[in-house]
Amino acid sequence: MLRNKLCLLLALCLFVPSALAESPSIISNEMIQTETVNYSKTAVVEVGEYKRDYNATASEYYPNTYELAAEIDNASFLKYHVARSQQVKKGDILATFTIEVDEAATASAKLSLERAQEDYLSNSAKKREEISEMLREQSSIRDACEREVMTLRIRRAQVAYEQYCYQQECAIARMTEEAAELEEANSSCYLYAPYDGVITHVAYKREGEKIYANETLITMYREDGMLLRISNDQLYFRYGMPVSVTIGPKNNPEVFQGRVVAADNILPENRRLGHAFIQLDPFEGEAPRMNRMTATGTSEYLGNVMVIPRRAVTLDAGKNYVECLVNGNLQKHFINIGLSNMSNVWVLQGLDVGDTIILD
Amino acid sequence: MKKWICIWLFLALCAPCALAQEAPELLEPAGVQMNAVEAFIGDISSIAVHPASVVPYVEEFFFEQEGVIEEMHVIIGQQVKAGDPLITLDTESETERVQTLHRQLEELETNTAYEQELAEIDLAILNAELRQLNRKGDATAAALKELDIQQKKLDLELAADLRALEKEKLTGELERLETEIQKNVLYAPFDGRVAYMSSEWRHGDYVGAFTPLIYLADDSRLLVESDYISNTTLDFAHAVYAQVGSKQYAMTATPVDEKKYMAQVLAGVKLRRQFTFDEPTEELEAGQYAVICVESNYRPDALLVPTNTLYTADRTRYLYVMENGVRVRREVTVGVTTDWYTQIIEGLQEGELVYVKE
Repeated sequence: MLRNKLCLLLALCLFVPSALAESPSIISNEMIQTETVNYSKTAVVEVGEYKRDYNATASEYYPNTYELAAEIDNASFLKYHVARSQQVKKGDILATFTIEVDEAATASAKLSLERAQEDYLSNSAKKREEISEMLREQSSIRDACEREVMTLRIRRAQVAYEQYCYQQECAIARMTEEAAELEEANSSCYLYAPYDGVITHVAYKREGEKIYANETLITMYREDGMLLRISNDQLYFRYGMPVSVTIGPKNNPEVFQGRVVAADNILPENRRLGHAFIQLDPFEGEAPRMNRMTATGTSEYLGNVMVIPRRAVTLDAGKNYVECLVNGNLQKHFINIGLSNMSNVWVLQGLDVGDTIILD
Repeated sequence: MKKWICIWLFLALCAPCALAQEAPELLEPAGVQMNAVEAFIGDISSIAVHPASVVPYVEEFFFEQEGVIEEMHVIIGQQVKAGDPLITLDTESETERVQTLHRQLEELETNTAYEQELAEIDLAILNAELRQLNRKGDATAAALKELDIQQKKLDLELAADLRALEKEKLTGELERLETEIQKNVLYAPFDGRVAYMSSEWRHGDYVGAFTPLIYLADDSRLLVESDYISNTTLDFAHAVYAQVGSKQYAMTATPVDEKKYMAQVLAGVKLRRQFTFDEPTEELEAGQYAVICVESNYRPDALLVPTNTLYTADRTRYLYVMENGVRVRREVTVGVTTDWYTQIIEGLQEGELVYVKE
């Protein structure tokens, strides 16, 4: 019994001082404010810029590409004079063929021409002879009527002769032209470079192998008009947009300015290429080696708009709000957002310039 | 047992005192209770933003007849001037045919002259023979000769008609071919830039009639294009403007061709909407980013309170007005409502303090 009382007394002696203790590590009632919140950073709503840039890897693109073919039938390949990646000048011989001359057709054409000419000469002579005979006959006619008729017949024969000469000369001219075309076709046995450029592809051909008309043998491109091609499925790069292009290694890049000259945003959906093309602005100095190219463009830019840090915005039940500090009190302001990116938000309505918002 | 209970009790009482830590220093505490705002007079509206961009006028070009490509005179991205040739179709066969037709017509004319002269001579011969027969008094032969003369005249007329038909046919074909040859070249109708040209088209490729080959962009005629915005939205909007860069521009929506719209909807094509600038804008360039802002539900000089001051119960709206530090419930009639402000039509006065529930 006494022991129990002693234990109880001991417990009370320990408890009461604890209850009455005022340690500096314990928060006093005066310091407790149940309706307050702490924050560490604020920002003032200002007018600024909303911006978003995009990058894309670029590669060279040569739009002036040509597929060169023999354009003649009945040719056999002889040899190439160029190789892949070789520079060529306009007029350079690229390939040589041998023409399988259609001798029968050529001979036939020549023969027909000769015969036509011979027939013309002989028939002309005959007709002239006939006219001469008629003239002699006319001189022996006494009767006036018959003489008149003969004169008309002679005139008729002369007109018919002139018509015959005209028709035969036209026919011979046509045949001569056709023969000349055959000769010209038979003499074409070289493939020439139409422009200065670079050979990109040479079709494999064995000597003596037959070549068909319009069969592509050599592909080349012109170096002028080079563009940069970038992937643009998301349409971040638009027609007319200025861009900057860095070329070269990361530790020593060169920066060039350019512009998007072709992009899908202005084309119908069924014509879209999935790429955009950039033309570099004229620059001084030597052209750099076109490797490790990156194009950067500002896809979204708005100035003179209310912009706040994104981390100040909270989404609640489909509505965006920020917490504003007004006269020492926290107020929840719902806002209308125009656009947002990873770091900033463009506020359309709900805030005024100069408002203080809480970031953390 | 009791001893152990006492020991545990002792430890339980002493332990919290030993483990007590330093309280964190408070940083600018802000009050959040009993927040109230004044009802104020202001403009209220709802602005919807549609991403857009400044685009040039674009036109597609095609041939009205089929043919084979002879030459592409331009490349993608190239600047062209009005009148520059863009693409030429192969006209070698048509040109040869034209030359042949010219020759045929020339021969026809010459042969016609000869035939005419021969026919006149034949008639003269027949008439002379007729006179001869009449002089001889051979009436039967003369009658037959007259029939021959009539027959000859009819033959002459028929031959002339046939030659005229032949000439008409050749002339018609010549005119048609010359017109086609002229149409075999696409010319740029305005200064612009080649915005699209398929890299697949080559010399010698066949193209069908009305197949789009080239798209030209005219940078001097600029529009703003956005995702589709319905006519209803635009008709009921208070204002429609574009923000490009740092400036705002008044815009007018381009009327939509209903048939074209339905065709696009049925084809599953993503719809777009174009807007023209109400005033000339020389400082803008194609490619600039823009937004189309459609302002609706506009009310000027409205009595406004933050929307998060309002409560709803049984289809009535009410709020709490602060009177002498006490919140008093008051039913109100609301007008235009947005997520941030609400117009109060009845039940509240300007300057009254309203409790903000959040």
